[in-house]
Amino acid sequence: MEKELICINCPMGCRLSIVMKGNNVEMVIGNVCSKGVEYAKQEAVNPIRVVTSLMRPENREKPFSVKTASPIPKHLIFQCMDEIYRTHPKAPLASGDIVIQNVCGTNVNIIATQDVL
Amino acid sequence: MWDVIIIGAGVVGCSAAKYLSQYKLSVLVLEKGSDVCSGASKGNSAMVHAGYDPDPGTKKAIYNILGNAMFDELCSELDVPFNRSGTMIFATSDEEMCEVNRLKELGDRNGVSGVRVLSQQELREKEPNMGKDVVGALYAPTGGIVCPYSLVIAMAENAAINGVEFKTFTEAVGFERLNDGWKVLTNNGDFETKLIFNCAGIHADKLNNMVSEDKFHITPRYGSHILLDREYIKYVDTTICQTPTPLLTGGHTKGMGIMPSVDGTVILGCDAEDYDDSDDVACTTRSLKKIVDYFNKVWRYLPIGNFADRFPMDGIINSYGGLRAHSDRDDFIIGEVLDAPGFINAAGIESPGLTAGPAIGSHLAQLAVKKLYAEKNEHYKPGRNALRPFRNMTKEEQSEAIRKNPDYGKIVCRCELVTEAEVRDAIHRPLGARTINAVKMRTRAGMGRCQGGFCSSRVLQILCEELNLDPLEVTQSGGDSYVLLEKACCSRCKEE
Amino acid sequence: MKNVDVLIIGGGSAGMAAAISAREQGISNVLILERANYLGGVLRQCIHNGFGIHKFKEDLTGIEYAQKYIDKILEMNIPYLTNTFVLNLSKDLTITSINSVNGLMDIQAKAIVLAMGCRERSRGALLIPGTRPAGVFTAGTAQRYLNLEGYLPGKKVVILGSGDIGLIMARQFTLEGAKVEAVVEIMPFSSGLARNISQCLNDFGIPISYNSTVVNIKGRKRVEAVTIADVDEHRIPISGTERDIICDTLLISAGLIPENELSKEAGIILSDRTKGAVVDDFLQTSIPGVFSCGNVLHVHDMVDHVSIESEIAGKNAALFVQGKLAATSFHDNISVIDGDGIMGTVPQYIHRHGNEEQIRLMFRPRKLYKNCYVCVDTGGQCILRKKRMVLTPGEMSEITINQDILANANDSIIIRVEV
Repeated sequence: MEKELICINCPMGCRLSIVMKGNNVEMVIGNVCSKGVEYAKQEAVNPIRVVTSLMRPENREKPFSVKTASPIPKHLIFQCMDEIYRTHPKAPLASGDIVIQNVCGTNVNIIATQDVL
Repeated sequence: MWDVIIIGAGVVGCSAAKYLSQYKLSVLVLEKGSDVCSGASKGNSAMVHAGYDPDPGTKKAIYNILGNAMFDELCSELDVPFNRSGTMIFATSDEEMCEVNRLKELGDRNGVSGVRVLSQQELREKEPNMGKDVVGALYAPTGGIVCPYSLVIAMAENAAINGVEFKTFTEAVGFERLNDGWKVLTNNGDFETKLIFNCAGIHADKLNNMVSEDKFHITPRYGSHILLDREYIKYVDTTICQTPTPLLTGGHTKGMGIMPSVDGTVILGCDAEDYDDSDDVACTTRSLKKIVDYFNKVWRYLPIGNFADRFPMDGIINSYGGLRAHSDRDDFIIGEVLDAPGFINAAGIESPGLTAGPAIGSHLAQLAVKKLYAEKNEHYKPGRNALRPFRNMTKEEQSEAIRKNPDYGKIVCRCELVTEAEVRDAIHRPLGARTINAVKMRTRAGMGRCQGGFCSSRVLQILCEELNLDPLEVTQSGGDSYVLLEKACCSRCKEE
Repeated sequence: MKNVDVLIIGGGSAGMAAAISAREQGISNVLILERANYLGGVLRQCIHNGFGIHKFKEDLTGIEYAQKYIDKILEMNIPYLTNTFVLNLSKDLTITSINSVNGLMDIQAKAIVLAMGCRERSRGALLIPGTRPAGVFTAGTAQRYLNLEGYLPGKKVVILGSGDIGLIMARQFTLEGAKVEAVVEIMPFSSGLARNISQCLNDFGIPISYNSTVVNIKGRKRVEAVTIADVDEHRIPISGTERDIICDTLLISAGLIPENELSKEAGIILSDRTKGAVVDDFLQTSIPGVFSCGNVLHVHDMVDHVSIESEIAGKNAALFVQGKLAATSFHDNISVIDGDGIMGTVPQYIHRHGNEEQIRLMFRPRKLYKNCYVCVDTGGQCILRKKRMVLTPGEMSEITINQDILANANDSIIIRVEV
């Protein structure tokens, strides 16, 4: 099976063609550097993304910003957003505080990215 | 029963209201928009015309001259920016010089004081940077520029202070003849009155035609303008137009001009285009392109051409436009309708409508005063207690203002230097602002280079604070022009 | 009259970096003036990540990046005033500021760093025809309403311009449950970073239409639709290609303009290309003692470069106060000229025997280039030639020159692209 991707690591934006057998990336064509191969392997098999969003505290007027502590599977983005919206931690909070443990079963936490006084 | 109901809160309607409030009369102004000055009164070129242009003997000519003469005192009383900076019409050919001479003659016949044809020497003395191919010019020292919406708001505020009532979002949809007057039917209730002033702009024909067999038709005629950043105003001292030959204007307008606005921006415009839809105030690509193309062509004639070698596209901060109410009788339609006594028209008020406005309003007021044997209102208060704009204060005045009210030290709109004190005042004044645009018209917040990019969220916050509104209730211009649609970070939990 | 050694106008990423750098160089009398009621500038409304990858080797959100600097400012006790606006700037390095606590304040500075950032190009400046309904926002204003106020300004969105802010908002609107119907870009290429096209548009199936623009806005009270048309090679809309997209919001992400009103007032020479001050390799403007950095100097894509640049400006402002900066005017220096394919090189002047061993020239290519060279010529001779895999207008590029190469340079050097 062949797939087309654009590598996002640098401005080059190499157009990559990937040949896959099942879940194995057999061949990557079109990359100019090795980072392209790494990216292609991850992106073709299990694309991952950092998700950043707002979250509403239980006891404050305005929302605050959060992010996944590391990338999560792309197909879980909207589920992750749902969980973020349903969560209302209590302020005060510090940047870096975990506001959701193990979001959507990914073993990745959602952390605050700003202080909430 | 009201003494007078005025339909339309534009320059004529508000002017009539102001002059009526000098008498003991009960006056109600009905405005279908969300604020006073919703129509052509805010979308024009801001020119106070000298009066050489209209055909002698027409109402346009008469009211132009009368109105023009009123501006110094009126604007001084009401703290409205006005600059009698003169108007120059330049010619680049013999044919255009003929037109210049014709306008001079018209000016004389209309009684325009001081209008004269400049010799080459006088022209160069007056405008040393005028293009070398300009062969001559007409100069009318009584021409000027006003802030049109400030004028209308000021007259309305003065009227309100003196007892006139205003209803916005109220549209006249029908009339019933009564024994001693009229009933005005609106979407917001019915009102009885002795007299009606029809100052309804592009809708005046519909209203007239409901009550009279002597029908007329208003064609909405669109005109656009382009605004240049205030860094260009130093090259523009006086309003300059090219001689308006029919080829140039299509026979419809006075032609295009470059105007030094009283607020420091430069106005360029305007063209003319007839519309079918009488509410569609939309700038078209065509009309904006016409203005840019025209000015690129004539740039070399203009003094500003000496300082910027072509039309500065980068210097454009905004465009705007308005719908002129052009009547099929080609003149203002002013007076009581013969087959509908008590119904008084002020219709077809296209250019020189802004200039003529105060004179027409004053005239209408006098009609009512005579008909109703009205007595003078000895409690009449002139002026409107306007705040001095912070940007116009001296350093000492600014320091003093901040000392007395720290809100003067908080800048909301940094492009136009508008402070919190002024925004809050705009909300609490008579006929105070209720929307983002209303704050803009009263303070200039959002009219500068960034066009509200920086200040609009702060203005919205202040509106919420002062009027106890939720941010979702704030509108751009009334009705359902909501700025914000939803609380963020909520839609999903709402579904549960 | 208050006396300040290094005065910094703007407390965003540029201003903070410059202040810290000036303090580290040994100046204690530093003061930052910031008009918002917080430090951090526009970073404070950037909840997305991608900041700090170069500078800190971390992938931070804008807010986290700003907080690092704010923490440092507080730790170093660097004085700053918020809610303070600078009304004017004079050639003699005096300014007047205003706030509600101190009223009007005159300040005499020994050196000034201009770090005022930029504003967004508005609908009005673009002369987009149509009605004036609610629902037309610049992308940054929408970002502010969303991230600082917590309100969604639109549910069905069209975005004009593929600038980074618009792309980021396309993603955030989508995550918020809004529908982004299309991104419309007048050029044949994106003006934003490639990774944003991928992660903000492709990820969510948001179509981008190149060589297209918005030619009309419809709607009486709120936006109801926008009309899109294709454009020809002169960027003129092609008649007959118009089509409407139903929406309630038009976001405009069509360019940033450095905010140089104060600079103009003081008579500082500006570049027509960058719209920022003309500077030498000290980042000093045409007024000795006045320095410029960050978006007000030239529009950046990455805050990491803003910080690096601003550290240089802050350090040199401090050196100026200490009398350690070589006092030469522009004319004694080597002028840097934009050659083929290049625009907006900063700095525009380089000292022949300057302080640094290396000078970083930053520029943008005029169009997309792949597998090319960036060359620096002087007197018809090439003195530096560096290979570049790709140059795209959406990403600021740089080339570093060693001081010794310039020793024999003529009065000017030309930087150009060679295909």
